[in-house]
Amino acid sequence: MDTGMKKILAVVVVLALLTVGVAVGEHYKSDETNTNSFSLVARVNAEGSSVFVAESYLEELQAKGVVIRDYSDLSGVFYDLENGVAVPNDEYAGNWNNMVIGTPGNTSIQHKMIQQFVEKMSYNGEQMRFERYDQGATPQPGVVYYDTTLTNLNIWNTSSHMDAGTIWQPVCGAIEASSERPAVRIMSSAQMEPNHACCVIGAVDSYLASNEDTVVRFLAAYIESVTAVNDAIEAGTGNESYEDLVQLAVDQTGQSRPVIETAFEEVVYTYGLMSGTSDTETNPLNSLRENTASLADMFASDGTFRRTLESLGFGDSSQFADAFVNDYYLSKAIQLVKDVRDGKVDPSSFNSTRIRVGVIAGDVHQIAIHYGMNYGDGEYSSFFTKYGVSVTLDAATNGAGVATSLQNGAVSLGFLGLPPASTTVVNSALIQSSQHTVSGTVTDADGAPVADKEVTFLDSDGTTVLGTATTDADGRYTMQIRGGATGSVVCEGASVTIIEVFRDTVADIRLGGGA
Amino acid sequence: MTDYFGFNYDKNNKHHRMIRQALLIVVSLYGFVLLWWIVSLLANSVAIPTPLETWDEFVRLLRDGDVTNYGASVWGYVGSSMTTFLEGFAVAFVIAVPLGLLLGYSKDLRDLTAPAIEVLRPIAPIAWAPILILSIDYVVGPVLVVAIGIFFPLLTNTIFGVQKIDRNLTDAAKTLGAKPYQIFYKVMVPSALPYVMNGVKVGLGVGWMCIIAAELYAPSLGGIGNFLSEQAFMGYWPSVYAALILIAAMGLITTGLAEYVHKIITRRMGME
Repeated sequence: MDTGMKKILAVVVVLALLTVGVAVGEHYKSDETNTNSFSLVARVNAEGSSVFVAESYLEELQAKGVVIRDYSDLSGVFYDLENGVAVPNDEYAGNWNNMVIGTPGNTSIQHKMIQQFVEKMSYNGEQMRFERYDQGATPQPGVVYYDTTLTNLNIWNTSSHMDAGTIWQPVCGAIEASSERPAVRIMSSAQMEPNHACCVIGAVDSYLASNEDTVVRFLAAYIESVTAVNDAIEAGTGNESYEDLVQLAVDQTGQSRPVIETAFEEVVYTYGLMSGTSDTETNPLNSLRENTASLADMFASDGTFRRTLESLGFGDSSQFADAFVNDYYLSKAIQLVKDVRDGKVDPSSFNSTRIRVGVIAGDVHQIAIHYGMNYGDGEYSSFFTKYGVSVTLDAATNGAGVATSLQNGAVSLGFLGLPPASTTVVNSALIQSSQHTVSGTVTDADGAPVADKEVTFLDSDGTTVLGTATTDADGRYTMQIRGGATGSVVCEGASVTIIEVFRDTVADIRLGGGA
Repeated sequence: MTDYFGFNYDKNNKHHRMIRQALLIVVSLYGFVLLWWIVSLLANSVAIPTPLETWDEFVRLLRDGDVTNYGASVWGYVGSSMTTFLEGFAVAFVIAVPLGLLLGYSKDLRDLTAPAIEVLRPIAPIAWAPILILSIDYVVGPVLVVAIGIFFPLLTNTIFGVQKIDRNLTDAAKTLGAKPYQIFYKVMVPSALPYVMNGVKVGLGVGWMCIIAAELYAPSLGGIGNFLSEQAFMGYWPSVYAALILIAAMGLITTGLAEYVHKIITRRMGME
């Protein structure tokens, strides 16, 4: 055989081997990827953004005959205000038509909220559209344009094509306070959707599984940090804690004191367990679940979700939200804070543990973690030190950056917006519906096993049966429950609360004498 | 003549050579796809989809457009990138070629400008993207980023081309009474052309890298680079790879064209 033939045969053999390798690899391919999946374990803030418009745009509207009596109150120009909520009205669609709005990214909550608002209006009988601004293109009727580059004051000042913008505090406050390119507020995000979710804490699932104690202590420290921040804001000017907080925020964000103080008036700092919502101490993230489900419905309909929730095994957006939001750890943390305050747990017993946390740089929404790392109470130099957690921060420029850090393992926990978090886990198929075993033993008041008793898993409303089983001769029962379910296991009036089914769970029930 | 499984390959036969070339391309690409597939399976990362997942998304992208943006046509994105690229190329060509001819012609001028050029040349053109986009705007800024990317390969190749001109040619022209501007225009320019084309070829490759990078900073251009970035932010990686395929295809088309023109010119100049 000559050299040429040998070369050809060698190539054929190599290609054949590679082909076989691909076929074998595809056959044994795992459903799970090496990319980290993550769950939401706490809130960070609600509200705290605004939509503003350049004064020059308002002058143009006035030149067209639109009556604007007061630049500080633009209801009746862009929306109707009903019970403090901004309601879109087709009557004002013409004032929005062809407006170019700067947003901080196509997956940001600000972008999604204004998109939702715009798409609720009709212009000349057609639903308004929210499309990417293309410099030089002829504006189309009934379209509001967006440009996703608005991340700071400087960009607003140099982007004369932007008629309006929406971004988080303190940047929106800085823009509204700046005189270089004057802008006034159209509406706050609280007016668009009161109590809307904004930043949340994501945690890598594999880290959660093997570091429950550290995560609970981190969240306990975070709870105390948020509480201290809210106390300081309530105390106001002159209070030492308030002054410390303002100075910290000025240093972290580079914004002026008046801008920071305005931001503190608007951002709602919360770890969860929000008053006036469905949150409970057992399930302190119920309202976050509702927010997540509502957002998922929107993302599923507007194309942001590139995979269907059905393809991930979820029957609807609520099931997805149940699986994605895990309030087991926060519920435990709330209890830990109480135990520490009541003296039942001595903080000096905590072993010091290091944890890497992703944050968005210069974001006043996330100031509580900085506060908790710098200030504490009593003998502790910081709230995180109190709970034996040594935090190393890893700053990204936006939520998508934090999501990347969670996925590649650079951080174990990350502070990011709810939209980028949801979009990432769905589009990358990092979340799948799952079933877990809930099992236990039913005993009578004397502790003897009871056979042939029906055990039921009821959801947290106590109305829907999620699973049933009958005890065997040893009093044992076993049932399969979908991941993310919350509720209780019930047998003849006795019950055991299950904070969340996210792993195999044991729940023993004692009849006549409680659990 | 060589016998390959009954096929008598004659390397002097044009058709046989074409068949060989086509087979090599098919085998090379097939091998590449297989290797990509294996890397995807071994890495098992959401950020490395298999070729099959990418192909499905590529077809869907061409058929349905950008579904996250009301089904906007992907050809609009390609057109936008191409426009920025060609404008950048035009700017670089208009400045670099005359300047290169001048610097190649005048040693004094070359010595004077060399330090400044050597300071600027190693700076990655992509580093200029945020500066130019913020200080100018979203249209001219990216055009200048591309222009910078193409400028230096074009300039250095043109200077080199002028320096490589056979002294006998210029001496002969002088002997025949040609004036300096005639030597420049009739001898130097045509003789440097193949080198200029080489600069164009290298510059186009660099330019493509620049346009994609610039678009990451300039969403309002709506180019394919921005589409790629948006899809990555949304965590939908098959779309990112579909965008990469389009970028590769566009790069191949432009550099292929430059290669073709370069070949024709060098052949006509007898420099093969």
